[in-house]
Amino acid sequence: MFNDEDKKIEECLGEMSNFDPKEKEEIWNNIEKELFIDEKKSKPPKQKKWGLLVAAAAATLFITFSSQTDTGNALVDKVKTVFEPGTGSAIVDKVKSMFEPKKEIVQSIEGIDEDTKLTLNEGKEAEYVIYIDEERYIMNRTDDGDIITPKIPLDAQYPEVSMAIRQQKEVPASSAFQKLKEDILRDYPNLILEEETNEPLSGFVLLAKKDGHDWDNELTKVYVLDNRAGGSFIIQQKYFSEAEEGHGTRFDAMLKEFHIVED
Amino acid sequence: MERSLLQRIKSGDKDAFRTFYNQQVDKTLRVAILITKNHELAKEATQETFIRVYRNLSSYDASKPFDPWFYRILTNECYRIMKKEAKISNQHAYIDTDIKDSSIKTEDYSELNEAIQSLNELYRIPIILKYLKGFSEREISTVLETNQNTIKSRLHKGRALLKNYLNDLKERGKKHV
Repeated sequence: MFNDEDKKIEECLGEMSNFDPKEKEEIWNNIEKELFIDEKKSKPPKQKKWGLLVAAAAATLFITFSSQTDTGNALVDKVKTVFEPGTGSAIVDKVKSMFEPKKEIVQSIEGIDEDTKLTLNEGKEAEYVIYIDEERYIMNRTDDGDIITPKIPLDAQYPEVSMAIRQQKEVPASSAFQKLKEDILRDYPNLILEEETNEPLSGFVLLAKKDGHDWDNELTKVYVLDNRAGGSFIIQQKYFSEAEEGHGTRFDAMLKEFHIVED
Repeated sequence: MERSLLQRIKSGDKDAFRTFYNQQVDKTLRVAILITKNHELAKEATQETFIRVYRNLSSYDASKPFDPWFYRILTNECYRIMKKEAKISNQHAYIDTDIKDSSIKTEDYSELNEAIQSLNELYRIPIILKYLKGFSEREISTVLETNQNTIKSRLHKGRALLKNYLNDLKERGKKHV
């Protein structure tokens, strides 16, 4: 392929998307009815109110400042420099003191922007922190790692919804990913995506699903990232088809606020 | 979008909004048809996008390009409507039928059409936005709120998948001769 094939793709997409011109008028009539004919809805586009604008600007400034100062390598270096040998709880306290206790984010859930409050939680052995939407989720610690689940458990007819975070201190990310892929594909045989990513985390990502196309078809998304000490963090999300835009999006939004703490 | 047109729409000028609709609707509906693979869902997504844009124009930052903002709303509407529809029907079965049975495609593109339809939406949607809408990788990354390198890699992989699919079809054709 491509050059000549690029042109073919372009033309093919044009052919595939042809429509009857009457459909444009039909759509406009519905829009017109919704926006201009129905008296109750015929007000012009809403204008910004200054009070809200100032509040939004302040929130944005807060988030921008927080993310610039509290994320990435700069943060890790910052945390690293203040660490001294100490007890587990002392370390936890110090880690917590380096982060804002709460953050506010705006996330798009099924096309609608939503303000969400996130709360700082430290992970197993304080080797990472993550901001959690505690209005909706709860984090529990287990011997294998940490697991985040809906605060109000789902009814029995729904498949599992969870995000598990564990660390393999001896296994580098690339090896861990290959091994994990084999295990995952046994349970979720349909591989949808496998790639290196920078969003919401830098590492490898794999998305796979079980057979079927129903609303409750089970999916899993797995991120494997370097723990910056020769090992890896493995984060596995489980949800189902209908929950992808809800729980799936919310899990990814929380992962944007996942930060490794090196000692 | 022209600033003067934007201002007129913001002030509630219906004619200005109709002008804007006429300018945008062709590509909008085409992209929606390709994303949803269904004309009725595409019409609904297009309609809801224009309504949403009209009502939320004040949240558009005029210092940034308009089209990526607009198409971000469109893709979100497509996803939302497809999810809603998936609750009540087996999406794969009837959506595939909708385009395959349509008389709009020509014989020349039948194999490529099949190959594009076979792509997972992670690869298919960036390809639609690039080849039909003409967006750059950067613009696609804004529309889909995804890292630009990820988009670059998905476009690359999407094209490779298309190539493999077409090669497989050719091989199968040879075996049947």
